[in-house]
Amino acid sequence: MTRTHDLGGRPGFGPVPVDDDQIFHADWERRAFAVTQFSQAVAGFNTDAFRHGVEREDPERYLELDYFDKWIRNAERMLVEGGVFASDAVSAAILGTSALGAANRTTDAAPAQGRGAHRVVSATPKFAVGDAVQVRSESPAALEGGHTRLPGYVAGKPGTVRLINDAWVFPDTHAHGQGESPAWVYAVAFLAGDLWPNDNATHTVVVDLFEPYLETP
Amino acid sequence: MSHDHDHDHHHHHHPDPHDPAVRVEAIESLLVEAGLVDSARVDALIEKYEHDLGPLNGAQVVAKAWTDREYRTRLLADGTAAIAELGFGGAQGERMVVVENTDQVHNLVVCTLCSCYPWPVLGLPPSWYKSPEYRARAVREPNVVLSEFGTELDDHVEVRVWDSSAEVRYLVLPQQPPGTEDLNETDLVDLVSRDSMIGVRLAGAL
Repeated sequence: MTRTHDLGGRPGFGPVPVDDDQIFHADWERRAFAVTQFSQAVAGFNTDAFRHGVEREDPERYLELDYFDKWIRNAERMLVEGGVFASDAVSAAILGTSALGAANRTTDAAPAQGRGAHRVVSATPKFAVGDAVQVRSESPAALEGGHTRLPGYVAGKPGTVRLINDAWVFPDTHAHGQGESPAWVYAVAFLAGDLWPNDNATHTVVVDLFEPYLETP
Repeated sequence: MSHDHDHDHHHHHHPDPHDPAVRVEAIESLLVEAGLVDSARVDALIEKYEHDLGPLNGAQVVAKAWTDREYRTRLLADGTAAIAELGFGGAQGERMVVVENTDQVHNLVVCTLCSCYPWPVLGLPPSWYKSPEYRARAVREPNVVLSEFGTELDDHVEVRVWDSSAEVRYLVLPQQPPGTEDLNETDLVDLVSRDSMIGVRLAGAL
């Protein structure tokens, strides 16, 4: 499974472009930010499905594309997959040719008006603050090429529960229309020495992990 | 774009369909023509996130925490509720956790999987926050990343990096700069930079 977006700890990157501190570089980026959010709402994609859309960017291009270029490409992906636009509608509009029967729908979609992802669950948390946990090698719900919020650099690693961060819609199922399956989320602390034994680093990394990603060591 | 075929005089040459600016415009036009989106609402969304929300919100939270001990206690116990006291909350801030810098611990926030960021208190993230360099390296060599921002910490300080990998959003409560104890809350707001609330710089620096 290609997980180009899963960048944590990956070697080979140069200095952070600290002087590139603008939110937008150009007016089209402003419109891409907003138009993509409306597109998401019109296409009926939830946040997890939206993120999975960006993650399905061509892995050869993910790192080189401008951030908002990835967004607007995802806007088109969502609109086509959501049946709002025919697959060639945008190119046809640009080139002045006619599209193959765009499937319009009427809706009063608005971005970020959903009920959010926070949920109250009846199950009690399996782990307590201070518990030792072990991250599974992959999400038990992982689909081939599917969405997960288990960063690769903590897979299989030992950690300690630092905070219990409430229960939330489970991205691994929710991104794929397989239900909310809300689960407890824990802020789990890892020692850099456990994550990268050869680095001789002494910091701590805290990662928010869904309960299905964790097991008792 | 130098074509010599016989386009009508009034007919524009076709723009590059791979140009993202061209694609954004085309998508918006199609959505508007279909009656699915109103451009005025697109404008309003941009206005909200570029101008109404921003790090000034977070700076007000921090300055209040520096001057009001009880507020600081509430903020660290339940960030979302204490931030809501100042009227801030919403998308990408359903639950906010505030982490406190001390003489012993320095906190730094990143999103290694995408670009998660506490919109209600900081607005939209700066470009470097979304860069592959920051996302890859902040968790692995945070001290080197900090030095690229000109931030050097004492050797004994524990660096704690928070990877926003779920829906909780983290805000750093920076240390109040020494010698500013007599300033009032309004003046302190000016010392609280966006970067100090991400954790890449100290408050009062640059």
